[in-house]
Amino acid sequence: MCYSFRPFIIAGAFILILQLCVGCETVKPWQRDIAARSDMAWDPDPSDSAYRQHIYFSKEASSDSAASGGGGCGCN
Amino acid sequence: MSTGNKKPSSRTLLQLSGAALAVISNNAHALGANVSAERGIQYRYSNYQEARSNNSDRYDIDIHQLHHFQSINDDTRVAVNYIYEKMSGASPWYIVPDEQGKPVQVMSGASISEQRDDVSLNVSKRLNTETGLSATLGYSTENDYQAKYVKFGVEHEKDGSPYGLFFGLSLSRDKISPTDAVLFDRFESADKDSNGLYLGAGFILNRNLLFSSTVSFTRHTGELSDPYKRARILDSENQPKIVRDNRPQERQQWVWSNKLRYHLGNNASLHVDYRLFDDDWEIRSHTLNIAWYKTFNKNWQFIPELRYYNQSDAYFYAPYYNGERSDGYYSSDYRLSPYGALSTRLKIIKTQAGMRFSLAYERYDSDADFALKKVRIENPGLVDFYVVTAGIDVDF
Repeated sequence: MCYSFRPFIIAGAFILILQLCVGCETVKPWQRDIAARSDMAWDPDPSDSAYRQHIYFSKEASSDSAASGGGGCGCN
Repeated sequence: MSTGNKKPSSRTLLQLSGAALAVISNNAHALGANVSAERGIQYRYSNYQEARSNNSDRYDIDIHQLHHFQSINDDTRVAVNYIYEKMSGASPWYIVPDEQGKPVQVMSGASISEQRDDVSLNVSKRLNTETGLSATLGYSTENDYQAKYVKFGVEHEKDGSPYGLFFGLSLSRDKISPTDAVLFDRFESADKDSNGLYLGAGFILNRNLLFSSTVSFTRHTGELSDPYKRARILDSENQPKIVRDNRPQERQQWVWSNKLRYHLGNNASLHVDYRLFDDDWEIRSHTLNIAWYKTFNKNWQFIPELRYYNQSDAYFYAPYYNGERSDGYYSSDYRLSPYGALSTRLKIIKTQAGMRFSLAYERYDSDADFALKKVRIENPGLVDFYVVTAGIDVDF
């Protein structure tokens, strides 16, 4: 199994993306009205998305349990 | 709230800064969508139904969710979440080949009937305009499975910076006690532990464009096999034998999640999410989610959504085995097979008198033909389902 390099590849891609901030436009706090809209939220409906992720986790091989948290099974 | 280039009062500035911190955070349990409400309550009812398989009814689940949040003061919010599920139906058991070698699914005979309760408590606290903390404690119980979990998160954005960082970890301690263990030759009790951590960053690329990227790692140890699944093998004397589902006792997984939020103007926003999953069972998956949020007349919101999912198979997976494996691992579980899935969803939200009514329908279809790479043998247990969800949110 060629597994050992995967985390480095992922972390490297992440660092590359972090460099994008060099080109970020400076947005002052009072200009962040659009960014604060509910339809611009990372997760506009956390209850809805948490349960949907639970369904996908129960029916698929992959999950993001570290970021989405634990929970029961209801798996079969 | 002031817009454009004019600098507003210090109180409004503090509110916008706080809102920006919540925007940077990728922690779904932080301030959520509505950062201005003092308290609120949300109820969701969902009905989940799987398509029939081999003339057997598969899973039918009714789900009730109740969520209540309360601001303790300007910096602290508490939320309680309760989920109740009632499940019934048959599920895939094992696969046998017919005379032509085509896989045939054998379903569990009796209909499963179970209930699950899941309760969690979340506390979010903003330490100052730059740093926030979040903690979640939860417990889930059903007939054969109990899970206790805890999650911590920290988010930080330096004042005036175009990006913020977030970090978190999660722990889960699960206990599995399969029903009818002796009758069906299942293990009677086993533990499973999951430990994970994540690190991410959120960026305000410009006034209309947000981007976040998160890397997470989770390690599962303990009993990872499915006690309700079996596999058909040929033993050393070439005789067919039905054996227990048996998987490695450890699984390490990496996930790279990315989210783009783009304001299109005219009360519309585009959400694009991509996730790459990779683990040491040699499963790799890609998930692409695209949603369009469109608001009409301030009170109506339509959210059509498309999700594409693709996964490869686990290295020890096979629909059935024409021999024995030297490592003793066997699983014919469709969830470890190679396939693709397409999901379409429409959600409609109506806002009226401080309340939000929502209705959503999602249809999920999985098929080996949807996979990115050619699949030699499709698992006959692949599932199609639909979910209907109705909800009401009240902020006060």
